[in-house]
Amino acid sequence: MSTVYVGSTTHTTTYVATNLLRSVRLLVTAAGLDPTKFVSTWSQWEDGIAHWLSQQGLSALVLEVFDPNRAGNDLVGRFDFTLSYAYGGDGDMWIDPDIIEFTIKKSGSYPSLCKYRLVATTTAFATDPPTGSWVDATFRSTDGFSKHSVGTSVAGGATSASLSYYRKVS
Amino acid sequence: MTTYARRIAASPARTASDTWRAIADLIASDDGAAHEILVGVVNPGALLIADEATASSPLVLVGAGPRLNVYTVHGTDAANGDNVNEAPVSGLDLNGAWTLYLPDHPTEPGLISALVNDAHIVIGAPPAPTPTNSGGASGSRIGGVDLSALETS
Repeated sequence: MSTVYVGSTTHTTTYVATNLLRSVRLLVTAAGLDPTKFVSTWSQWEDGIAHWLSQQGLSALVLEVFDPNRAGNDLVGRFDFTLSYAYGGDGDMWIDPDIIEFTIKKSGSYPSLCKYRLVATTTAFATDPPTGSWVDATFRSTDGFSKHSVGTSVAGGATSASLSYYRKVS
Repeated sequence: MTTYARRIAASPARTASDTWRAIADLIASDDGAAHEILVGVVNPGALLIADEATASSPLVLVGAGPRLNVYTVHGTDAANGDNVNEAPVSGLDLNGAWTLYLPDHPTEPGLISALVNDAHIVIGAPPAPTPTNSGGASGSRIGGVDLSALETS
């Protein structure tokens, strides 16, 4: 864990936005997936997340992993970064990269043929970011999966993101 | 050859993407074509900045007049503006065969190059500065140290 500093609201918003994406990239790589597609859209995601965080309008950032060759429900894994704007920390800004490795050890990695997508859920009062194009999305079914909480992965001021993963119930 | 260094405030002062845009403005604010090329690689640039690769391995601009090393500053220094130098660089000319060297990603080799498709942007170490000490007026070498490579403001 790396502690940075107690900062202003603007600083904490910026810090959490950038480090949420760092966490997603670490997660994609640790899961055995190709991060190229995600990184090729980095700025759109970062601009959008910073915008929504400034409104306290981002509810969660969700990484869905799916098998494109599977008919029907193709979900094979899912990771949720759930936002809180009432984090009871001491105000420091920090990221815990180790939690990503721990999560993948628990969830397992995926064959490289698997694809993924990133989905943001926002509150009703959140507005569209001024740049980028965004479309509505529907989550894949999580029937047959169980959800497991891991812990806080990124925090800054009163804003934090807690990581959880879905695993197929055997 | 004169070498300049600039240290750009990154997280938490700016997002990684905004930091890259600030670097594009620093290098090519007066050159639309070069600015467009730089903004076109905002995504791999932002990843390098987010992972703090550019805190110790600078972006290096060559072929545009003075050599320019651009570092990013993170954490408390970035928030407080300490050790930051974002002053405009005089004498840059991006009408020729300029090249911006980006460091490779420290843990994802090949990822940055997969996202760059412009001859002006090269992944890897830049060529060493060319000594220009024939007249003794600049680039003097003492004990193997090229003084011309020292950073000037």
